[in-house]
Amino acid sequence: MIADYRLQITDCRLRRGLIAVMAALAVVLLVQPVAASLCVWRSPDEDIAGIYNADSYKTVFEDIGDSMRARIEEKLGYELDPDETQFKFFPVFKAEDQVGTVMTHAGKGQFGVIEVVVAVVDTGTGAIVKAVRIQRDREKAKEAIRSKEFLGQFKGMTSADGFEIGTDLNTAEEGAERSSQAIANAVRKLLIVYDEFNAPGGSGTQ
Amino acid sequence: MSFFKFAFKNLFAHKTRTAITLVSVIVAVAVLFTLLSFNKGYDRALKTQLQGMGIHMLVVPVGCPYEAASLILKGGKISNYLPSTVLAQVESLPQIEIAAPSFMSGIVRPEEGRTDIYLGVDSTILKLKNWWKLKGAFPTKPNEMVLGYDVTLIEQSHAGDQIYVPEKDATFDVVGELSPTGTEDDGFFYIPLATAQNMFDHAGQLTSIMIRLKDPADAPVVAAKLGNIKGAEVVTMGELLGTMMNLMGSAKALLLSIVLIVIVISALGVLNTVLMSVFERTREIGVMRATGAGKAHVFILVWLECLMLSLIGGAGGLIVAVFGARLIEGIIKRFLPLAPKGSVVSLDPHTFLLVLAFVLGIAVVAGFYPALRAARAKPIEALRSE
Repeated sequence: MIADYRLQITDCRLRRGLIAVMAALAVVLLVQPVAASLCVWRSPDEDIAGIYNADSYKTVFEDIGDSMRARIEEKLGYELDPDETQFKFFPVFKAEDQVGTVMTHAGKGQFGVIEVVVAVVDTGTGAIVKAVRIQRDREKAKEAIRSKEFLGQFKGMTSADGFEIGTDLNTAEEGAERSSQAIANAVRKLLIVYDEFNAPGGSGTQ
Repeated sequence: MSFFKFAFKNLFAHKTRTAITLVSVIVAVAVLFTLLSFNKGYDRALKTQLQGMGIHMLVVPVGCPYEAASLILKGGKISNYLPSTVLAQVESLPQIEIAAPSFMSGIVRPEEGRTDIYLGVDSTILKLKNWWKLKGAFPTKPNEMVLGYDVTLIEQSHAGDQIYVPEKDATFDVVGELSPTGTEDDGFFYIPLATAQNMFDHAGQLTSIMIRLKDPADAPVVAAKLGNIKGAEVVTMGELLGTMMNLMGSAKALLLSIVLIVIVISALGVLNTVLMSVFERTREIGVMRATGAGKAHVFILVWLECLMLSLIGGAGGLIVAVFGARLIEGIIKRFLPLAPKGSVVSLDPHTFLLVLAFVLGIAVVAGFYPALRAARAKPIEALRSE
């Protein structure tokens, strides 16, 4: 009896150990590179304190399925990159309460990549922009695209608004239309993606 | 009934337990065999790749070339440069097939946590690195640029785009991009040599000359001659290979340690399986002893079970390793720096026999205690046990 009991325990432990090993192997083999448009949030502590006066955040990865991809692409009016299969959200908290969400995006500018940080608050019917920050670029109009005048235009915008530079929004400066449009496109894309995840029936971003 | 049949019957009586123990041995042996094959194959592949690069030596400024490379990566300024006139001296040697000058410098971009490395080159680099696949054109004008593959991903820029270098207020037209090479070449911005020298205020100076010889056997002679050039130092590929092997040493040691731990755990599993089998069969062993079996018979029987378990697992592990080597190789390569391209696993009979002998050794050690315990059991006490 005792021997049988010992045997059962040993078998059970070994099985559990094997499952753990197989799971670890699966993680190593199945982890895919993240989407090109995802980028690192380089100064989260400064951003959450400066934008939300908040003290903590967490990181949430959400995969998009085929149907959601189709809906997002339809709203955007262009196709996502094939490797854009996942989006990253940073819900921001003040004490226990969520006060907003931060998202980041790396997109092509006029002279290289532009990384944009977009902070939103959820009104219950969708996201509105609270702040936009450029965290990395190599644009000639560096100061202009980082100016309060240009980035301040995005405050209060929703995914339903127009984001055309020259029509709905002013360019950062003359000659920087392409850079300005790249930033506007990034903000619009993140708003659409956020709203899609947080629409009724969506998986949420928390 | 022979000892083998008896031992096999005992193992077969507990199929699940035996199977799980076998799996642990198979995994351990497969990983050990692959890692040993990897070690052997890695050295060979690295040597082949370095030889295949077609660069037999580098002429660099006097000083530690590795320290200089480290300084450039951090955006620091190196203290010594080669005058461009050295190139003519190098080219004058009859043994030289190609001598490609370069000027390398970095610009730190703290907000990105990285350094942009600019490599000034002329068209001889294309002859030297004839395995490069260049999409687009090579720079012919001062403000043209080719991007390494990684740079195209980081900057999301391609041939036809423009790249601005704010620190130098310089704009470049991207005229070409490299297909992935799997080497450090992927991370560079390639610009014309003179542009790089002027942009970093070192006109007429070089950071290295890459050399391909007509006959690699001439390397010692050429190295001796080039070593006489004032202010220049020669690094041969043999020296570079030695340095890379040293760099690899610690990573290899870490991997081997992990595998040894897996082997020890696996050996403990075998020991546990056989020991439990002995506990369960105390009464049976008592009967054997009472009916004339000697201590040696019992010892051999139990030990044989352990050996069979390990050898079957070992053989299974070797089979898995042979068929799954590419998969395990992929996992191992993720954890090793400077991994050469292509397959680096060398499956040879010597490693095969070595692993088999190792498994046998582990089985002998792991089976000793359970066998000894079984052999020492007193028949009367054993018969009384439940």
